[in-house]
Amino acid sequence: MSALYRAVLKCYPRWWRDQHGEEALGLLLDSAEARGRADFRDLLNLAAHAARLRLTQAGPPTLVQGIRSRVSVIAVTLLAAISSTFLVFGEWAPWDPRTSMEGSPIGNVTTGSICFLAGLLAAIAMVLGRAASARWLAAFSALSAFAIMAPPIAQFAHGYGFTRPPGGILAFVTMVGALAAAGEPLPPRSRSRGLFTLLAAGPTIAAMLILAPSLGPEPWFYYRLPDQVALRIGLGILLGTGLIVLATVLLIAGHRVWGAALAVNSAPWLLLFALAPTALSAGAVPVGGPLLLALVIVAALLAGLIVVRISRHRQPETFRRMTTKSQG
Amino acid sequence: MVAVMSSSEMREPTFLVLAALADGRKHGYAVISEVAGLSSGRVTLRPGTLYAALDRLRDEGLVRPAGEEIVDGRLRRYYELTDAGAEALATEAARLQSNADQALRRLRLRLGPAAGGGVA
Repeated sequence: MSALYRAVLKCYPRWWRDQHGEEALGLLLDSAEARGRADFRDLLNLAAHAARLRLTQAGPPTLVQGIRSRVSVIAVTLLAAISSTFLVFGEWAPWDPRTSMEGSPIGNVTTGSICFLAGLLAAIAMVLGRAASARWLAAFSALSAFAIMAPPIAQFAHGYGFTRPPGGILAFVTMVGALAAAGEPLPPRSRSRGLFTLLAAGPTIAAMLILAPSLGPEPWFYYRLPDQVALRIGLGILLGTGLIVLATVLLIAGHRVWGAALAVNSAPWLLLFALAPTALSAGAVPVGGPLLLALVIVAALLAGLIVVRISRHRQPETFRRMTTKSQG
Repeated sequence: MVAVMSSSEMREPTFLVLAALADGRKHGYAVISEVAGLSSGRVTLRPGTLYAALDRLRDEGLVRPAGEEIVDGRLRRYYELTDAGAEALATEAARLQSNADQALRRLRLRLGPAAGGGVA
C-alpha cells in the first residue's frame, strides 16, 4: 500500500514532495489504517491536485520553469514586433493601393491578420499582467499561423505553393507563438517593466518603418506581390530557431538580461534580412547593405543597453516577485 | 446567476480547517477527522485538498507549522493557528453568526406568534 501511495505522490512536483511527501504518506497510511482499506478517492484527489500544481507552475520556480517563463516573455515581445509590423505594412498599408489580390473585395487584408492581431493582443495582455490570457492568445496566434501555412506546404509536394503572408513569416509566428504559450509570459518585474521590455523593441520596429518604403519598387516582403517562399521558410525557421537557442543559452548561463536584449532587438531584423536578400543585394536599399547592417547593430545594441540598465536597476525585485507569485 | 463572493468571505472547508485548529495544534489526519466531526460528516477533506488549503493558509499567514514527530515510522507535521488566523476565524464566525441570527429572526416573524418559537 505504501508503494502505491508513493507512486501517486510522485505525480506532485519534486519541491512539493520535499515539503509534504513524507507527512502526506503518513496521513494516507493513518487514513487507510482507520478505514481498513485504501480509499481510491483520496488517490484521485491527490492526482488531481498534483496535475493542477504542475499545470499552474505553482511553487518555487524550477530552472526549467524559469527558463520557459523568460523565453515566453521574449517570444511574446517578438510576436508583438512582427505582428504590429505586418499588420501595418502587410495588411493595412493605406498608402499603397496596389494589391496582389486581384479583385479582392477586402484589398490586402488576408487571413494573416488573424494571427497578427492575436499576437498583438497577447503582448497587450502580457503588459497588463494577464499571463493566462496572453498565453491563450499566443497559442491562438501560433495555431492560426500554422493553419494558414499548412495547405500551401502540402502543395509544395506537387511543386507549387505560396502563402500570403509569406510562409517564412507565418513559420516564425508559429514558432514564436508556441514558445510564448509554452511558458508563463509574466513580465519579469512589474507591469511597467513589461512595458519597458516592449518599448525596448521600439528601435527595431521604428527601423522597419523607415526601411519599408526602401525595399524596392515591388516590396514583395510585405506581400504586395506573390512570393516564392519555399526557400525562405527554411531560412526563417533556421534563423528564428538559432536566435532563440542563443538567447536560451545566455539565459541558462545566467545572462538572462543579455539574452532578452539580444532576442528582443535582433530577431525581427535578422528575419528581415533573411527574407529580403534579393532586395538588399540588388541595391534596392539606398543606404547599402553593410551600412544598414551597421545601423541595425547599433540600434539593437542601444536598445539592449537600455534593457540591461533597467533590469540591473530592479534586479532584486525580480526574484521576490517570481517567488511570491509561484508560491501563491 | 452566479453569486459574487466578497474577498473577505471564507469558503467552508477553509473555515472548518481553521476551526479544527482553533483549540490547539493538530497534524494532517487529525485535521481531516476534526473537520468531518465539526461538519457532522457533511464535509470530507481529501489529502490533496487539505494540503492545498494548508499551503494557501500558510502563505496568507493564517496557519504555521508547529513541530514534527515520528509515530510508528510515520512523519506527523503539526499545524497551528497564528494570531492573524485566530482573528480571521473569529471575524468569519461572527459574520456567519450574524447572518444566521438575522435569518432566524426573520423566520420567527414569518411564522408569527402562533408558531410559538418553533424555530430553534
